[in-house]
Parts: sequence; C-alpha cells; structure tokens
Amino acid sequence: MTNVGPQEPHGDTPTATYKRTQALNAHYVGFAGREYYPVVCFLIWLGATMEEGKAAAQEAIDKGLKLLLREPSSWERIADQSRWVRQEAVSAWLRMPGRHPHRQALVPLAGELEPDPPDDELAGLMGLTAHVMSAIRKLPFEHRLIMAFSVCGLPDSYAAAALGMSEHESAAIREEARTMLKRELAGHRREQVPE
Amino acid sequence: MSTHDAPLSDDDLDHLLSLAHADLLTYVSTTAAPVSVSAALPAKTPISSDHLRLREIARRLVDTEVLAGSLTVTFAADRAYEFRQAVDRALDDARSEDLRRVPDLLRALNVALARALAVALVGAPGIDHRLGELIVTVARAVADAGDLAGDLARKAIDAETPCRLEA
Repeated sequence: MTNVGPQEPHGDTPTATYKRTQALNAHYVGFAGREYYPVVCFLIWLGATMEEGKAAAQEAIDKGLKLLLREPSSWERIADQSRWVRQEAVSAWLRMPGRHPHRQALVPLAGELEPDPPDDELAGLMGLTAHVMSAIRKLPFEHRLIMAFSVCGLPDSYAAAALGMSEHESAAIREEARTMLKRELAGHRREQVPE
Repeated sequence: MSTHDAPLSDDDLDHLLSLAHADLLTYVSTTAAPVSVSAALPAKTPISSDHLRLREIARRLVDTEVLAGSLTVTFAADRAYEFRQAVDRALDDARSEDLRRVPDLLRALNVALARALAVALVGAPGIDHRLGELIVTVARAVADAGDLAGDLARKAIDAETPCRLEA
C-alpha cells in the first residue's frame, strides 16, 4: 500500500497558485482603471478638491489591492466592489488632515456646507458644470452624498448603505435635494444649455 | 417668482446633471494622471524540495525519450509505441507539479520499466548498450519516484493531513 500526501492547500500547485494571483492582479488593474476617474468625480461632487479626490481615490484603490493580495477570498466576497471602493474613498477623504478630524465615518452633520473649491485644478471648469457643482456644494452633507451617487448614475441603494439608512429614506432625501437644486439652477433651462 | 425663475422640471434637472457629470468626467480624465496600481506581485510561491525531486524525475524521463528514439532498430514498432505511451503518461504526471499524482507517476514508470525489460529479455536480438542505459535510466526514475512517494507518506502521517492511499 502506498500512502501519499500531504495535500497542497486547496489542491493547488505552486504554479497554479501563482497563475491565479496573476489573474486576480490583472482583474484588479482593469477594475482600478475603470473606477478611478469616476470615483474622483464622485468625490468632487461630494466636495473634494481635485487633489483630494485623486489622493482619496488612490488610497481606496491601494487598500483594495492590499486586500486582494493578502486575502483574495475577502476581496471576492465583497458583493459590490464599485460601492466598496466609493465608501472607502469617502472615508479616506474625510480622514484627510485638516478635514473633519472629529469624524471617521459617514455621519452627516447638520448644516455642514462645503465651500466652493479653492483655486485648484477645478478652477478650469467653466459655465454649467461649475454652476452645478456650486449648487450641489450648498446642500447639507447627507443630501450632497446622495446627490453625488445619483449624479454618477449609481442607485439609491449605494447611498442608503453608505449612510446606514433604508432606500426609502435615501430616496426621500434625494427628492429634497433635487427640489433644492431645481430652485438653485432655475436659470439654466434646457434650451439654454448646449446639447 | 417670475416664470423665468420657476424651478426646473425633473427632465431639465436630469439633463443638466447629466451634462455636468459628463463634462466633469472628461475634464478629470484629461487633467489627472491615470491611476497607479502597483504591478508588484507577491513572490512566486517557493518550490518545495519535493517539487524539485519531481522535476528531477521529469528530467530523467526526457533522457529516456531521447534514448528510446535512438533505439528504433532494437525496438519493434509496436513495442516502441507501448513504451513511449507509458513514458508519456509518466512525464505528464511528473510535469504536473502536483504531488498527489506521484502514485500515478510511479505506476506509469513501472509499466515503462516492464516494457523496456520485456524488449531486453525477449525481443532484442543481442545486447545493446543503449538499451541497457535506457533500462537503468527508467529504473532510477522508478527508484526516485518510490522514494518520493515514501517521503510524502511519512510527511502526511507526521502532519496528520489527509493523504491518498493507493493499493
């Protein structure tokens, strides 16, 4: 009788393990490439400057890569990686030096308005986009966050999960925010906007 | 409030937001440098000494194939085919890097050795030193695979890990 073992972990050979890691890495490079600019935009709608948006998006993407390489199964278990990377990016942005040092999570503060962006790279934005950005930044944090998800074409469930509320509640806040924006942007009718 | 200042309709607001988002996305993607994703992969999983021994067996089998190729006069066509079939199967197992296939490797090597011995004992018209060399090479591979199978079994018992039992 021949007794043969031990078994490799998960039955993988060294080459198979390496190839699986390579494939995961390639998958992540694609994911990061697709998500980076939209995440930066999302943070800018939320109130970040261009520099802050780039740094926070990069931090979230780096965190995802670390998770993927150290615990691939944990990364694969994240049901919605697009939502995950945005939540991580918002947390990274809120943790930045000089920004809301008292707050580590997405807890909205009443009446907290985001000032117009300083003279950073966003100063190059003209006309309509600058007006819309200015209008969104006048919203309270909770409304702004929900509108940032909405403007980026993401579902209410993303904002609801980020704020720890039901989709019904986040939809109601979105409607309030939209009413405020409709008033604020009343001067920009469809016929005035170049198609 | 004048007509001009009346709030926007839902459609108008959606249109404005969509245009603004597209503009911002274009602006950001043309202004900001692309994301940097570390290309560094973790180091390739170290090859264990058991895997190195498997590779050594595979190397011996390649030598065997070369020797068998030079024995076309000694080997009848059908016996050469049967021998190569067994060596090919053993080579597949040895190159798989899968230690669970060592019993299959050992079995294929024994078949190859038996077929080479059959040629030497029955079919060969005379002593051919290359045939002798071929038999020695296959026999060494059998010995190496047997040692490896024994060591793996001992490690499995020490580690109390599940192991494959072969009759």
